[in-house]
Amino acid sequence: VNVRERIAKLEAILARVAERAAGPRETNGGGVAAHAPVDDGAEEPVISTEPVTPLDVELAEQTEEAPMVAEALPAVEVESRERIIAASAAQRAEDREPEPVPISVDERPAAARTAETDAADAPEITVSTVSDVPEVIETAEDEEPPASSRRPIALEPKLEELAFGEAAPVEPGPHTPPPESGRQVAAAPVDLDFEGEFTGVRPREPEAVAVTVLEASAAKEAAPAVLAAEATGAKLSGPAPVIFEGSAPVFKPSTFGELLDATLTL
Amino acid sequence: MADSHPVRFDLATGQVKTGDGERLIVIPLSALDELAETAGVAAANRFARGIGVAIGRRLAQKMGSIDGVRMATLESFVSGLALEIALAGWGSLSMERWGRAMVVLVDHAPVKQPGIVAALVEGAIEAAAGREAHGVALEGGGPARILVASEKTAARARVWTAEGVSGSEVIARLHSGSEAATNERSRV
Repeated sequence: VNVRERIAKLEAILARVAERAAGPRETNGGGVAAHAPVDDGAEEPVISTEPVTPLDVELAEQTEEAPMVAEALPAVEVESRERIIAASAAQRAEDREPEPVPISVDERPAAARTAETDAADAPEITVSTVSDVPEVIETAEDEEPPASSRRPIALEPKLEELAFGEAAPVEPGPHTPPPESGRQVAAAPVDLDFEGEFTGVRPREPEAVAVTVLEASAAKEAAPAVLAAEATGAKLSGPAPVIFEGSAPVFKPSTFGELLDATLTL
Repeated sequence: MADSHPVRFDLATGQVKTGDGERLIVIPLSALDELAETAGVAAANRFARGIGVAIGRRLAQKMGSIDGVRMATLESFVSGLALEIALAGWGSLSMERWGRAMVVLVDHAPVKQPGIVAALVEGAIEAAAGREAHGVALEGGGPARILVASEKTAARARVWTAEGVSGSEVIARLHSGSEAATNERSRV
């Protein structure tokens, strides 16, 4: 069977399903759900003889099966059951690996054919469970604002406002406490690419000292005071106060006798 | 008649005589030292003074008389005295003049006690010049320095020297004292 033949058969099945869906539905007034023969008995739908296998669907603990509206009405019950079966079959077809669909020339159950067509054409029908518990939408945890961002303003009313109403003194808007200071997260060492020259430890090169010539007055003010005596001598312009006359007597003996007399008179 | 030689050794008779015929003896220094130790410093000084008197007499005799000595120049007197001291073996003599003070230097003296040398010089000058003189050994290293002075001045100089005053200081003090005394005399 090639693909074209398969498509042709599926189109035929789809056309029949569309015809049946467009036609009025007949109920037997609470009896056993049975499809009224539309055309002839050859085309009477037969429920699949295959045993209904439970779906391998894991349900959450807090989920419940959606109430079947079809249970209230027997006619609808059959229809719903068919849909359920069809849905389960369709889901099974989805879960199964894409195996070649064994389509035989023989008549297949209408319900099965309907499921197959629904799964192929109609928008995807998925079995969903309805939960009584209000749905909780999980959102990502609010990331803490960075330290540099503005702190959020607390929205709680102050006690003064609750007690005195509008007469409460107006104060500047409260702010939440500042974020706690903590250790700065160091950058990953992988991202760091230190080089020997940029580690911060390097010899200091002697800098050229700029020599500025100060003025003489400024240098005198800056220099420490050194006490030094400044002598002022008198200039004697007049005549000398004393006069030297003659010469000092010099003892110079010429003979031994003079020296002997001098030394004996000491 | 006087011999031109100052010392004559007569081996036949075993006598040593001066040019004037005075007998001499040659004694070792150890004997002089032993005399100073046994007889005392005063006896040793007296012994040395006697030797000096003999030297002075010979000098005066050579110069003709005591007046010849007094009228002689310093150089001639020092030369004659130094010769006599050297012939006797008491060392090399010279003279210094410190102002008005006369200081006789004796180098290579045979004795260690400067007082003995001072006694020798004292006797020689007293005998040669015919005036009483006193020698005082001054403090100081090297040659013996003998100050020639009067008895009173020599006594003061010995006291100061015993107190450890240097020779120059002693001479300076003597000059200052004499000037003050001279000034007092002039005022009177």
